[in-house]
Amino acid sequence: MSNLPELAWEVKREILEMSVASQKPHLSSCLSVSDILVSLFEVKKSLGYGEVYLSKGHAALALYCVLKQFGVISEADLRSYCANGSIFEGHVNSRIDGVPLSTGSLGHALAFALGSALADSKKSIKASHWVVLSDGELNEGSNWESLLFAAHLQIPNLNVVIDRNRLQSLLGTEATVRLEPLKDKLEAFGWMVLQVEGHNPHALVNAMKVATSESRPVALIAETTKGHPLPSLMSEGVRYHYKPADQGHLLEFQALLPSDKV
Amino acid sequence: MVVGDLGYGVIEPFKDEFPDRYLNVGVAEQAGIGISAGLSRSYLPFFYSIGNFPSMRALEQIRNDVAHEDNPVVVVSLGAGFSYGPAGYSHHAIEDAGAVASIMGMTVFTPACVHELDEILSSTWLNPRPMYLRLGSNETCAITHQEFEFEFCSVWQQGSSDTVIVAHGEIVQVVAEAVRGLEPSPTVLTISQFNADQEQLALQLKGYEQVVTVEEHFVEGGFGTRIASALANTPAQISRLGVRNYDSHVGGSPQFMREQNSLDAESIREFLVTFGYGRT
Repeated sequence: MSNLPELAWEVKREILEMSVASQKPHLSSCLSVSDILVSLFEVKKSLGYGEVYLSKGHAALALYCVLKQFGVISEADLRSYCANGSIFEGHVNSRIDGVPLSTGSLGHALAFALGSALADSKKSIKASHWVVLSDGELNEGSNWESLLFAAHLQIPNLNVVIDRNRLQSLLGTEATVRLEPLKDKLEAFGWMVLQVEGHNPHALVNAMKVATSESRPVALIAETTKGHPLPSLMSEGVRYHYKPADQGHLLEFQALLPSDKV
Repeated sequence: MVVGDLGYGVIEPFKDEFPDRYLNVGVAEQAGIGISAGLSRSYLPFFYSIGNFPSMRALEQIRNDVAHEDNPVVVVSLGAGFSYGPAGYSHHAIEDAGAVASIMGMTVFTPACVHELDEILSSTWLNPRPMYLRLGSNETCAITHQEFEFEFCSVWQQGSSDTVIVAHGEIVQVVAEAVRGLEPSPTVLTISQFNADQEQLALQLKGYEQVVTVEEHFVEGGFGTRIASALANTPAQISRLGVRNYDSHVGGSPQFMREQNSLDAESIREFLVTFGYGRT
């Protein structure tokens, strides 16, 4: 796990490169969630089992870059991102190895993962189901239906990570539909909640291990920043939810210091 | 059996016999379909609710998490058409089958009675697939079931070779009443698969000059429209009887609602008389 920050760094570099190459949107969402995904796949690897559902399917590129770093997909696969005829589409596609559910419309994966977790639980199959939600996605009522029911069942093998970057499609989350106090809300629903630095893979992995050992559903609120680690993206609000990277961003990334990596 | 907090009086025998295979997700159809899709990785889930709730309320979950992921979930709705007539338009399921059938990968069944339901369920065990099962509320059946070369198609009455009435769902029983005693008698078919294969339909209905479709569903997006499409390149004259005259804010018994839409036995009979089928 010692090379985890370096792995995450590579993922971010490839996200930027593929954003430049493809000129497709959701760059800042991908950078926001990349450390979370790297950490989840590290935990999955160390456990030897686990399912990761990227409910915020628009950050598909981040997932593909992580799958490549973990050897699940090839360089050529990644390069086909958003190309005509490719399964590596702009939103998550279950035809790709290691992807249990296609996503893109928000508020779908948690219910599906809950059903899968329940099935595994009933069949006594060792499993750990992880759903990565965006904070804006918590506007969807279907998520709260599932949050309620998962807590009611005290399902032990289902956890969520909320990518808490505080921005959604048009404005900030608090200016759109206020989520705070989010921790209190989730706890009131019956979830155990851990707050964690969302760009610190070591902290994320540790929190995920705690969650895995719990016999009830755990929500990690991962405090993130859209566009991390590039200052020019982080200062731009929702702009890079839509706008892709250019060569200048790659140069800016290369000029970052090792100390910027966490 | 996954239920959306409905089924009082019908669900208990299953729950009592198979407590470990019964799950009430509460009043939460979107989560219910999603959970069922997840469960389908190890089980064959039936998601049960009534009216439009399991279909329209969770249509995108049916599309994304069931149909396009090819997850074998059977979505079951009790209360087809105007079964819940007096309850108001929230409970009138008259667009549901068309909406679900418009989703690629969904097989939609609208059985007329328990005999057809048995046939459908037998095929489900052998070939689990994404499915919508639209049930009426009346288990009695006027159909004399006969084997036919076309799956899920039954001949209720073999009659005239120039006019055929094709119906699906519980309204078949109204059609049976409508044609009673008519001379000459038209042929009556029931087709329990709402989105039956178009080529098979065309073959089955080949040669009839008049094809009359009857359904307790909106005509647009309905079964009759599918049949008209299947017969588009034939000289057959197609008449589609279904829900047309619908004032969503006026309710009444199933019989009253059928009368409002000329779907009661008397209206159907009157319609057939225009084709020369007289009363005896």
